[in-house]
Amino acid sequence: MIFSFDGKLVRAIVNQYGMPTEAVMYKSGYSGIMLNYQYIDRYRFVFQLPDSTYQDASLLEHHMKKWYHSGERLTIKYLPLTASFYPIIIDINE
Amino acid sequence: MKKRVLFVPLFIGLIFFNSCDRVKKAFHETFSDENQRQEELSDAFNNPNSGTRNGKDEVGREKTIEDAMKELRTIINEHDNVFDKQQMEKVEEMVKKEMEKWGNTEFFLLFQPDKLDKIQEELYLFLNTDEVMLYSSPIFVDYDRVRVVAVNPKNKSEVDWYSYETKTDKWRKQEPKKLSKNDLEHMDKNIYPFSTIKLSTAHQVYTEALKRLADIEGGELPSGPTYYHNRQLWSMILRGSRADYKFEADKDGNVIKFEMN
Repeated sequence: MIFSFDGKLVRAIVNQYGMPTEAVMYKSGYSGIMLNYQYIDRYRFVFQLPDSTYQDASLLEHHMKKWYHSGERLTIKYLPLTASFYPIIIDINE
Repeated sequence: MKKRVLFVPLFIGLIFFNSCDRVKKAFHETFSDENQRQEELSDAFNNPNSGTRNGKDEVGREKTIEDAMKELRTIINEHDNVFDKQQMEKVEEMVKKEMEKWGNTEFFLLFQPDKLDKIQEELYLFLNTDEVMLYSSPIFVDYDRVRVVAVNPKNKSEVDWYSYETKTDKWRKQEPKKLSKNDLEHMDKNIYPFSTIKLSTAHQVYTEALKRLADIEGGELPSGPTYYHNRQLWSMILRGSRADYKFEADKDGNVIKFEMN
């Protein structure tokens, strides 16, 4: 499942109601988007849901405040109700 | 009439059973894919650097960083090692750092002038033309890809981005470049033949930049030079921990500027 989002409101909602968990950045690659002549990469994260299944989600490079290397573990928050069909995550350390 | 009455339930039955098969098949396909996906995600979560998943689109995962560094030394030696010992150590250190940062081992394009020339030739084949005309947008030559804006040989009023990536080893057409009425009216002034520049000059510019970067504290491996047709020069920013530097070379790769930003 792929998503991208921006905006303070969404971030505030995820911060307030999100479920914290550990995620791993496992892949990055060109997203197909160009911005100001620059290729924008998409970073994919995987995390575990309470039913022990795994879910992936992604963030676009220009929505992130820091770089992640492959295999880097981070604590994220995700919205439980949207996790299985439209996962929205934030890196809580950003 | 009786026959018709018999055919109706038979027909409905056939559709029903046919639908069931499709439902079964769809169910099977959906859930077997889901199982496979879960396995891949589990592997990604538990062994993020195992390199066993998505082999096709994971850039260079099958190659270890040590293998890639050996390959880098071989490539640099093949092309008349232009670095002295200290510079070489610094280049290796910067390349290794980038490889570890991105989990990517494809950092060699700018060390291979012959490959850059071949890539240039391949665009002619890709566009099936004797002369590729470039639009006066910058040419980006990065350590793993080349990007140019070229005119469609079959329709001179269409201009598109084309990119070559080392992971696919081929050119592909990307998004169109939006033109204005003014751009179209001055099309002849805005385009120039690709043959007037050599992509391998990017190698010369890059190595000259790396030599200087070796003396800069905390130097970061630059992605590659950019060619500006309107100024007829190659340009790069060299980033260090204490200062950044502007590096420029002329069309033929002769250094014309190296100064602190």
